[in-house]
Amino acid sequence: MVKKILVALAGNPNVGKSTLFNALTGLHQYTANWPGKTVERKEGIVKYKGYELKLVDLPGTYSLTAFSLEEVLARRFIVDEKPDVVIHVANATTLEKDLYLTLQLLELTDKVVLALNMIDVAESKGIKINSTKLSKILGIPVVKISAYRKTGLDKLLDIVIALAEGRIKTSPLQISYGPEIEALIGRISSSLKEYDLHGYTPRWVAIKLLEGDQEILDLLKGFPNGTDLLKLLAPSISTYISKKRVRYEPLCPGCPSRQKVKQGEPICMLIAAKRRTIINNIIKLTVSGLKAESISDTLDKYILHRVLGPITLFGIFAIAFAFVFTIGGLLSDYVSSGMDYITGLLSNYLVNRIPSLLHNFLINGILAALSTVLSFIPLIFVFFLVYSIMEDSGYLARGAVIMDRFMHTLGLHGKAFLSVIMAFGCNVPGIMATRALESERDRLIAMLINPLIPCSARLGVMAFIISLFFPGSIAVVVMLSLILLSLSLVAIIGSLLNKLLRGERGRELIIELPEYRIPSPRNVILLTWTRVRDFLERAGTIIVLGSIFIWFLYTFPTGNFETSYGALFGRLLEPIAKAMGLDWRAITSLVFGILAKEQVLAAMSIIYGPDLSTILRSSWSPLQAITFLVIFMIYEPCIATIAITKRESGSWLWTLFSLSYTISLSILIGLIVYNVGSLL
Amino acid sequence: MYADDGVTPISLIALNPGEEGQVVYIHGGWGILRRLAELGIYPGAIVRMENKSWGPVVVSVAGVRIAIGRGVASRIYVRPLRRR
Repeated sequence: MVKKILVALAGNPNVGKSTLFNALTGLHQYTANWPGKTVERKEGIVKYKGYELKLVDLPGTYSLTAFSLEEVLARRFIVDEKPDVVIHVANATTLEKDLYLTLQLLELTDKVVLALNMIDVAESKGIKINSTKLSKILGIPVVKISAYRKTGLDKLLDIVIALAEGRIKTSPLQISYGPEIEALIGRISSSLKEYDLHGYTPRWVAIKLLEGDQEILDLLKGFPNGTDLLKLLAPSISTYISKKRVRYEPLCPGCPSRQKVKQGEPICMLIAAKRRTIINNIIKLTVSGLKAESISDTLDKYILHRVLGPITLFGIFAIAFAFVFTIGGLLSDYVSSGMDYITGLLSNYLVNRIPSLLHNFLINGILAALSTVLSFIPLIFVFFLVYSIMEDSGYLARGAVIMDRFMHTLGLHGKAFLSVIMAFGCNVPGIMATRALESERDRLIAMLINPLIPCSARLGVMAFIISLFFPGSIAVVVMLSLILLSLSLVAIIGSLLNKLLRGERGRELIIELPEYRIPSPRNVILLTWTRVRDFLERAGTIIVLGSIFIWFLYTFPTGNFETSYGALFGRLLEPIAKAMGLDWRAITSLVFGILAKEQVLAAMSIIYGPDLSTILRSSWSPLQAITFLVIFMIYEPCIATIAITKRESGSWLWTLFSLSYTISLSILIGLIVYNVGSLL
Repeated sequence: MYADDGVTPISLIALNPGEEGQVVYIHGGWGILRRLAELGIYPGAIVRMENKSWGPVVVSVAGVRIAIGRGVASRIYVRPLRRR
């Protein structure tokens, strides 16, 4: 009988947690979302000395006090699923920062082992850590490891097993927050005794309340007499201690000058400062070695430079974009033509051997759908390759800093910049790139506005139709105006969603800039591979089913496109189309375009006739053409985007919202453009 | 916890690159205060201004580089330390 052990990996972002996860699990890993959430959940299996360890990679967090969803997920996992052992992965070069999480983990569970990762890097910098002493002070095992070089991993696993089996006893460091705060903690926790605290201890809940933790406040509000209880506790929670006045200088001449100064300090700050003071003392006792200016500091002087920074950023992104969409695009084309070839062969072989409806279903339904999914693989693969390299190397965080101010004009956070840039190539990687965002709410906003950014497929069709109606230089102006329109819509919808959506507001940027490092190829490939597989498994299914549905719409009941349900639907929409100066044929092509935007041209040549250019030129005025393009540009890009929105948001509701708001918006703007345009 | 030695605290963004200061007070919502403390910025911490071009400023504290939006950075008050 194999003994199973459940292990959680906790740690700050940028400590090499995923490198350790990859080093331990290799290919035996899979990703999912945390139930109903947008946060990625990675799990893997390690077989070691007859044990089977199930590793769950908790979201990277700096603490266990709710700031965003990640902290809540991490601590709920520890409390609800009771892992046998929690490995806290810390970066040995930034131990002082990382120990903040250790102290909080020790308040929640005693089955913790501290893994000092990147010990090789720390030692090369002259940092010496006395792990025996550290272990004694913290009361838990401490292991020095290097996930990158794979050293110390066996020792870590041995300790994990020993901890799980109770062969190692821990005596976690208990923090005393000082007489004043301890008195408050005591008072609050005694009034919480008779409540069901969802597995948390009264002392822990009391501390979180004093820190102003939102999830815990909500938990208490949910109690039958929760509001009364909170009112009772309110004075303690909002207490400010050690009152003192301090004068502040105005920030600059003419600034809104002397800030009003609150008296004393909020309790959450005192608690944090207490923890920090303890950590500071621990560091003094266990860590020695001076740090000279690192290469990262020198590099940052150029990379974050006022002038050089944006130039470098532009260069790197031009290369990244070109790489993703030329190499990825080229490979995608190969896959498509390969699939076309196979489809052609199969079609010829089957044409007289099976009933024509079945033939149609196989060729135009199933194989076409598979071809769509497969042709996405190279694109997704190259995108994640680039994304992982940027993330792993530490550049992604710098990009966010440089783009922060600009992104705020779009109503977005600095970290959303990659998502916006990628969306011009394809919305699928664009939406995937929102993973860089910490707050679930910000991520949702970035995901919802993403379809408004015209992807290369749309830009291609737009360029074709524009060229039919406008000569050279005017065509460029029309194209640029349309792109400007879509970016304005991004800004408007972005700030609207920012106002309307509840949850923590898009905060100002506060991010850690990790050391630059050369990405580990193994890490990058593994990360890319699990993400591509995940895309195939989950988004792929939706794309195939959706494509078959569209095929059905445009084949049944007669087998003829023009008399199909789809065309019927287009005719139903004729009144709306008329109001925008268009007819059922245009609308039907647009509905068909949900399959993939470049398919619109194919659909149009079926509906309008093979000589599309001449027919369009004679039947549309330039205004009608522009109206058509505006609608075409704004409504939901394609099934793949719908699928990836579902995959990343974890919610059908938001996926439907994305679909319906872009369609309504396209109709609205279409109406405005046509009717205002007619007046001119 | 205030370092009350007569030196008037100044805003963090008033520090020039390379200069150090000891945090004395942070003005802001609890969420921000907590996040800053998690990253090592709390009353008593010694921060060094690293980069102050446009947009967020970059400071280092205990060997960690942190980019902070200007709005938040302007509400962190420090007592400038003399450079050694």
